[in-house]
Amino acid sequence: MYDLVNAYLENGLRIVLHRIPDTKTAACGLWLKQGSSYETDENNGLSHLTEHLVLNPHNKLNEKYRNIMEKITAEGVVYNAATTKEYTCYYFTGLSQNLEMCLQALGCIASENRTFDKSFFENEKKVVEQEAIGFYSAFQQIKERTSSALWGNTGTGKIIMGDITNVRNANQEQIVDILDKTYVPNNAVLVVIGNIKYTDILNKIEDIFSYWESRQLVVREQAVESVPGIYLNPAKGVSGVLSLGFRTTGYSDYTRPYNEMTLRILGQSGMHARMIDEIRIKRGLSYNLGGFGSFYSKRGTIGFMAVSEKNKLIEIAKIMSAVLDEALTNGFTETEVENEKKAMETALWLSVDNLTDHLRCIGKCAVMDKDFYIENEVRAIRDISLEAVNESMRKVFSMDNLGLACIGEVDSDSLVESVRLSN
Amino acid sequence: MSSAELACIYEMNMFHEDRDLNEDILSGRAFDVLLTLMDSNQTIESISRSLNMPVFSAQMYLNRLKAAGMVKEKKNQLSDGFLEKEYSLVSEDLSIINNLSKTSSASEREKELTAHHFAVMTKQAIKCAGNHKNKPYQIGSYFMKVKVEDMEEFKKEIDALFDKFRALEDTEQTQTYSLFAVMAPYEMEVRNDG
Repeated sequence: MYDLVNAYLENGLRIVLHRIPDTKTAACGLWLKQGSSYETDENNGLSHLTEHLVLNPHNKLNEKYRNIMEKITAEGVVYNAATTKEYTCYYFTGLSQNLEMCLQALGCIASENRTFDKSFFENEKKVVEQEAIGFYSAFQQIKERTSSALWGNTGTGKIIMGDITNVRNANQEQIVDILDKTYVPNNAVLVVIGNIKYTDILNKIEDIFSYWESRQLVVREQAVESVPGIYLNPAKGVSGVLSLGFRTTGYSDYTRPYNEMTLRILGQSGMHARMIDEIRIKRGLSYNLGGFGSFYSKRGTIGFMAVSEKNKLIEIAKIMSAVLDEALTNGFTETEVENEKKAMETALWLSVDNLTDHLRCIGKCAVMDKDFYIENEVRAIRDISLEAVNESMRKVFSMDNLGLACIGEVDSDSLVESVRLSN
Repeated sequence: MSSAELACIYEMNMFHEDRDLNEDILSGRAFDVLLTLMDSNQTIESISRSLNMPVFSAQMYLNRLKAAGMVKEKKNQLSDGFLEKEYSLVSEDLSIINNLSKTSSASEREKELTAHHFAVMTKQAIKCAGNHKNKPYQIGSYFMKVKVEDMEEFKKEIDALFDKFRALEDTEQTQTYSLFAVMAPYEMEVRNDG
């Protein structure tokens, strides 16, 4: 049986604990409900910059944090952070005897890393800009641009990496504003997993985090546009990238497993995925292509993208439309569904076998006010039926639910005419 | 990573085209979209429905018309938390629309807009001729006084010429050719009497 302990400190910090017997390692992480979907045009990108500034131990003004980090990294602890559309998270994984020090590091991140040395600040801005340049391959960018096409350049459609101009021009007051308003215990979840004793760990957490002051929260999530639209950028170059995206319901909705399966059958299950079969295997039109999806608290996105020579993108758009139409008309097969159920269950168990990924599953659910129970996830997969997947697909794949994103020199009039679904 | 992707990172606008908007703003179905805004403001959903066009297509044409300064956009927050986009004509900037007051007949309005659209296409064809000088093209104009009966006979020849042009169609070819004809009584000022 998979057990979770939920607790709250007086300051509103939610704590989620999960014991894994007989493991020599432990992991802990802090999730703050602050991401790009809460940003405006003026501060888009600053949640991500904040993450960098708060995590980096080289800030001269953070001696206590620097010392803790020196000790835990000397002990082999690995750490990282991530900013998403709906949250920012910081997580540490290492041998169980280092867990308390990791929690202390998280304590500094939560409430103490609030002032930054000027040169450190300016340098980290440059680092973030370089991350944008280095990390944003056409593939990664197209997923974000698809989100923008589907939801508008607002809310869920706001790009996580943000406006680089905002990052370049950011000042410490803006970062401190984010920290003061959102890095508060009643906007956070702390997760600890490993061979832990619940009472002992709760006591340690209370010692470290009870001084973290809560604050009244203001509802900040930006509204999204009522209908999907289009993102077009005629970037010059030999190649381009195209994506068809669709709006879905959120993470907690019962249809999420059906949408995940649809995505897998069409675009994620290796060389036999239908889109890959038609575009790459049969026609050699693209090497880098596939499906992608993200599910947030209130809404989700699934999409299909392909990188190719720019003069092939319209043909690819037609093929993608044809593949989707064929799926709408004839549905998936029993064999496809049964095969994907096994693949999805395998992927789920693989994710919990890795301690850091397991921690992140729990944290992601917790920050969406949902509990992660492996049995529930497995049962949801095993309960998927062919009828349910086909029915869900018909609701998702419609022209009114489609957002189009394209980067590359393409005849946009011809492109929009090429994307057609019968639904 | 190519320079194409680098440029995109710094581009935060949702819609960017390399088209010369002054030339072909009304290409595709942009003209139809513009017509829907003649009588009243419209949301993107209503435009999409009335033109039987996907919302992303309607959005593309509206973005184009907005970039050209022909329509303006207003965002309204709905009670369910979504943002609805509403569009209206920037009528004071469009001289052709200024000529079409509410007292003009629908047929007059249609004539003006059709003429405008035709002029846009003709202009495009002329510019294309300049870009394809190695391919056959012909541009000409001539004004003269002539008998009405002779023009009626000549009109039949123009009709036959169009039939002959259409008969040459070969859908396997890649180059499109256009043929425009305006053979009509000509005056410097048009009387609006029919």
